[in-house]
Amino acid sequence: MRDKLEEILKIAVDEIVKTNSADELEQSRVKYLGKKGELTAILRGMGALTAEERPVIGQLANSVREEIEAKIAERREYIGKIEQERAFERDKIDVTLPSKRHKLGKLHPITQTIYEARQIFLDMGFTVVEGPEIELAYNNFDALNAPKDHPSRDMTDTFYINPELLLRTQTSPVQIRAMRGKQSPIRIISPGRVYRCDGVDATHSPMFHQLEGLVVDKNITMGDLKGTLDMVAQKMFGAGTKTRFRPHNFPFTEPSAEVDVSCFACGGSGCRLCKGEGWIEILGAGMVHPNVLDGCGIDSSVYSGFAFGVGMDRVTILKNSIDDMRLLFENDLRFLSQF
Amino acid sequence: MKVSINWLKDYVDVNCTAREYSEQMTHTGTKVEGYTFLGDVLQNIFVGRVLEIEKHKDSDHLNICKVDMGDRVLQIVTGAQNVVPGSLVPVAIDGAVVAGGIANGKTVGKKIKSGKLRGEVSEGMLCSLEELGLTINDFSYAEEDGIFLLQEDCKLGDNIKDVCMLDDTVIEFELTFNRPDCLSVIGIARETAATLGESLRLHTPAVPDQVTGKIIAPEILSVEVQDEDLCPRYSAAMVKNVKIAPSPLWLRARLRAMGVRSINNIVDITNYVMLEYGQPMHAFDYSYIGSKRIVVRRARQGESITTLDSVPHELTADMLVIADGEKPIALAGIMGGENSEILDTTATVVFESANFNRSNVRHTANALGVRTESSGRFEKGLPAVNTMPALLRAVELVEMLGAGEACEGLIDINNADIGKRKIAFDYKRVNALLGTELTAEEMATLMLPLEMTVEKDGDKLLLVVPPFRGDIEKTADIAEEVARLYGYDKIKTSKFYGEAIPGGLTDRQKFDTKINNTMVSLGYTEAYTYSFISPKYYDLLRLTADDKRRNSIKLINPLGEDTSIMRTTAVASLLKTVAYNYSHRAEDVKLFEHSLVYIPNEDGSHSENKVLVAVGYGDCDFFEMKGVCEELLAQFNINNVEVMAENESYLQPGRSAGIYSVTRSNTTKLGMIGQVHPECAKEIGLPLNTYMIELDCESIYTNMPERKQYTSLPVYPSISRDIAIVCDVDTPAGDIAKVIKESGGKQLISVEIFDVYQGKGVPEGKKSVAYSMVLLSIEKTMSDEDADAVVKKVLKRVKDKFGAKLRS
Repeated sequence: MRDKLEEILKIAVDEIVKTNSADELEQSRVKYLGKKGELTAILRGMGALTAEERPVIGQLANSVREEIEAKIAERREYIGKIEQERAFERDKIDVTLPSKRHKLGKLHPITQTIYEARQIFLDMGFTVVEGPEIELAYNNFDALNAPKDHPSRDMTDTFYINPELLLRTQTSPVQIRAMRGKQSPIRIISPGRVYRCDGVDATHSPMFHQLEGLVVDKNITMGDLKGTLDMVAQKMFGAGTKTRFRPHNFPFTEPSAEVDVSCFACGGSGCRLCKGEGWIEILGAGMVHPNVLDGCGIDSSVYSGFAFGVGMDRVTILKNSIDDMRLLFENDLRFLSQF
Repeated sequence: MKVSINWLKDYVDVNCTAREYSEQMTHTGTKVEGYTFLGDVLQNIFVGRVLEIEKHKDSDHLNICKVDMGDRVLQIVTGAQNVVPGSLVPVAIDGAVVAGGIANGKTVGKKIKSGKLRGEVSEGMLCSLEELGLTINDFSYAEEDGIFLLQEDCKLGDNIKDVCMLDDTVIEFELTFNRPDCLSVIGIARETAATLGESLRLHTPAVPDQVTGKIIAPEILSVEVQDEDLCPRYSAAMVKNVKIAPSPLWLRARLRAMGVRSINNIVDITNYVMLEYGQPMHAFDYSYIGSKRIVVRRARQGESITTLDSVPHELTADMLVIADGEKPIALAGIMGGENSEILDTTATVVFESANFNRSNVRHTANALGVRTESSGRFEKGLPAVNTMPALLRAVELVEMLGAGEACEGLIDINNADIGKRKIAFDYKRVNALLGTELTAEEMATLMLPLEMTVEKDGDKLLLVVPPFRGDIEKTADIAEEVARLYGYDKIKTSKFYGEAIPGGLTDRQKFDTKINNTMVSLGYTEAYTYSFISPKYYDLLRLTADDKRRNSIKLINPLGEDTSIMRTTAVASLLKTVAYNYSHRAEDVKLFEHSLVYIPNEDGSHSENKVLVAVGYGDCDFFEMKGVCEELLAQFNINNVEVMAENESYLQPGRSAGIYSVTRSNTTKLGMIGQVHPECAKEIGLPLNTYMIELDCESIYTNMPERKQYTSLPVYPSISRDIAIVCDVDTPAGDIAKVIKESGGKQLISVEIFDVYQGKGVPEGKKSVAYSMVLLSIEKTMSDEDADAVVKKVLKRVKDKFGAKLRS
């Protein structure tokens, strides 16, 4: 009987290590350890043994069972791995096949520029103020200190609804609305649509977008204007960006400046974008004209402020190397989806 | 404005390159647009004298010239016929560059080499005016089609650039509206002096003694200014024994450099003085001034004048004219009349140097469509102080050129204030505005070259402002002068500080932003279309003639009909945009626009309302659109949305609906949804399966629940029941769902339609709609019996209301 047990063990182990699938292994398990299995059959014959032999054989039989069980467990783990690998092989995919995309839309590039610029100012504690596009001539010109004969008032420059009402030519009238009757401090920006009588071509559109900024408080200086725009330029165009202020004239600021930023394409060494200048003219700015402050009920001998205006379309065009402004309003999806 | 550097150097030293000069001027506020070197392409062209000419043996039209260059004799073959032995000619020697036409606004050079022409050696080329980049206006004695035979005072071997005065640099300035005083060589010289730290050399015109200190005898000429408001100052002088002739080369060269064509000595003098002093002038032929009177007055209604350019103009009573005793002889400040112009026969000339009201000149120039160098200057507001110096300069030039003799006396009718002004100079406030720490003395030093001086008035300081600087009125203006001469780049950057304010976006701005971002995440791309449209867009939308949306705000000066009214709907604009993409073969299009419409109100005011329009075709249908709409509204917690069949002129009947927000207290229309009407689609160029939604953002914003209400999560499991109901084909499935929801009570938490079936097993004219219901109790686990009781109640109500039954 001892021999038989040892033989079963040998045969069982040989068979188990040859199994190649979970099914084969299970068959072997049933064959040797099942209720009708060979080992069980042998154990059933234990009754014929002597009382001395029975515990010895019993112990042997148990150790044989344990050994077979251990072998099966070992083989099961091995087969599990093999089968998983087989499954991996079977389920392999060609990862280079095209994706199934849930297509998102895109914000218009000008909206993206406005949001980006807006966030820079929001982070600095500014408030966003909006105003009407159909505006009083008074707010668009007179309150902004534009001389009566200023050519910008011409019908060839400004769209009129009637002599008192027009399509705003700048976002600056929002300044007036924000300042009138307001106690300082004022720190606002105003992005929006503006209109001028320019025919449509590669660099002009009768409708475009500006972002206006205004700070009014006691002790606001031109140095503050420079410092603020420096920070903004670096956020907007990259850390190394420098600004350059050149004297200019706007009716609603005095002193006034045109502001260039160092070319963000070449870093200032001169390239096609900056026409070899190393600088790109980007905005107009200045200290709020005392006539404008006083006209809004803010005492210009106590308060001062700075204001600036940036063309959002221009920034969009420059930052994305867009060569034709018409693309912005044609809304070709092949264009819009690039941003 | 263009300025000749050679001319500028009469008044101030410029010892730097054009580039350095341009940069420095730009940084002190006189912006340089660019600069050109006159004659810069010309190289190695020298004066030579033709010694002898012989015919080329092998050519009918070629001549062989021996040309003396001073140090050698060259053989040159030429086709020109106008050279004779002894002619002084410009010779382009081997390796020379001549002007070869104009490309992109710039003269291009053409290289000349020695070579053989039909076997004969030619060591260069004889040049025409064109080959020197010149025209007959520059040298009226030259022959247009031949070699330029020089009549200048020059020697053999002289460089042609020196002989023709082509060695000049022209700087082009972009001047600002507030600085009309810079529209002159002297004005620019003053800024140059201040910028470069050089001194300004002003010139006092030298005229014969009989001119100044006397008034022209009234029997010779009298001037009457009837409208002082439009003509604050009128100055006049006369010259006699005039010999009309071309101006000398130096004068013509300067005019040419500044872009002015030479006419004759008298006319050229008026232009020269205008460019130099910034003061427009006019010259009348004295013999045509009727009654020997000049009257400055408004035109009489019905009067007319033919200007120098032979264009007749009807005048109105608001236009200022210069008249003689009877008729207008010039449009004041704009252009002279043909009836008094300088002719070759002119013997006596009256020079006018006057100051005219800027608005009136502008108005008249605009009304008549005549814009001249003169009107352009007056429009900007010129200082009246300049009329007399300019007039004297003209007289001086006449004598200098030998063009005539100065007559006795002058006329000067002045009602303008031409004195210096004094304004308060608060240097501390200037520092406060700039963030600088300059002393009053430092500021005074900066402004001195601009002819501004500081005076003490007790313990206060005054700034004395010259009369040509009308733009300096307040401390801020002084701050600008100080800042630009000190240097904007030297002002230290600083960071402002102050009282904290909340900042950030308003609720409405967050709402607007969220609409955009939601539409993008729903797959729609944002479009920007013009706010102004053509009235025809309303026809494209098939709006009826009395549709109130046709009532739009109109522009009085649109660019064209296409952009002539402010839109009351953004639908047509976006449909056009989608059609544009369709015409470019886009397969799937999903576009939205979130923008303003402009609605006139009954009281004459207007409203600017935000709307959202989304349009799609291709991978898009009605229910996809409906889903977009519901998802968007759900972002704003508007969950009770009802879509009810409703017609709209631009949507296909039976496939269009109104979108409503339903709350316990009210039902509000938010917009429309549907398939674009096939006729609109055809007209606009859209595919038939184009769908759209149109939402009024103002209504969405005002109907948004204020705050999200949290509902506690269920403790007990829910139970579901599916039922199929057979009803009339025309019964909206949604209406039944609504009744199910109402009759199901609190325990029925959701009803969803999951199938609609017609065909076998369902009678003709009927349909079967399958509803899935979810039931839940907050008190206990629901039993099947509890659920069945609810279903039973629901079925009864559905039967009562719609005659619909459970499908067996």
